[in-house]
Amino acid sequence: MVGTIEANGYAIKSIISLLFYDFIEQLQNKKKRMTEKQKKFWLEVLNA
Amino acid sequence: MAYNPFMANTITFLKNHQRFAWKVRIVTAHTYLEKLVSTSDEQVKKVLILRITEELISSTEDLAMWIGATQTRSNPTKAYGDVWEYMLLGSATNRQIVEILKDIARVKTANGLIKKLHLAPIEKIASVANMSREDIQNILSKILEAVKASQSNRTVRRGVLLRFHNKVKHGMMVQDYGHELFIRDLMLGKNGRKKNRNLYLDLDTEKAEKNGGDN
Repeated sequence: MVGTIEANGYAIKSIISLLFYDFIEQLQNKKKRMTEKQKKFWLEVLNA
Repeated sequence: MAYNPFMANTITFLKNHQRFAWKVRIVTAHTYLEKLVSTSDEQVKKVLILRITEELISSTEDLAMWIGATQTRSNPTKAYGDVWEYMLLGSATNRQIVEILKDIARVKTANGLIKKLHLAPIEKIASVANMSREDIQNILSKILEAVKASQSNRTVRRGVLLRFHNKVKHGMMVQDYGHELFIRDLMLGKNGRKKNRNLYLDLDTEKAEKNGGDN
């Protein structure tokens, strides 16, 4: 049997990190329908 | 992706999961392992080996669910508005879980995995994360390795480990055979005939340590 509980746990943690980076990237590059104030709010939430 | 007030809750959930819940199975398995190597009680050892194997199989399901949630988020439905809702409401049969894992396991490169997960390109992720392209590629490669191993674990010998997992959680399927544990599995064929598929689990501390990842 190959594979470990630890590897799966770290893979999940990494997926969540990638999701955050993706959210931030989208926020930084989102041009429409978001004011600077809204963008600032979301970046603060993500970076808190 | 819609940025609405509920998403702040989702981000809180994700942050919390990243701080705490992701390691629940790891801490559980390590705690079992510590006891496993320190106890001289054979029956306690057997119980712990059963539980570690159960955690291993459950962890493959966790991984598949996170992949499913990550893929679904870019195309939210009424049922699954975001990642958190998918994790709360989502359920998948073994066949669906294996399909999710197989689909990802077919991927050959880090770039391919990024596309499958519907994430921004590696360069953009690396820039936001303040990491190198190689760092992000390494992270993706590790995810890919875990997925491939999980797919193997769930499909080996026609899913014997999964069936084992389902039986073990209802402990009456397990019998103590001295130097090993016997798990009787019974399958009903399409022709209505019953077929025994028995599984024996050795009292192997080394294997249990490998499953936990403490090696």
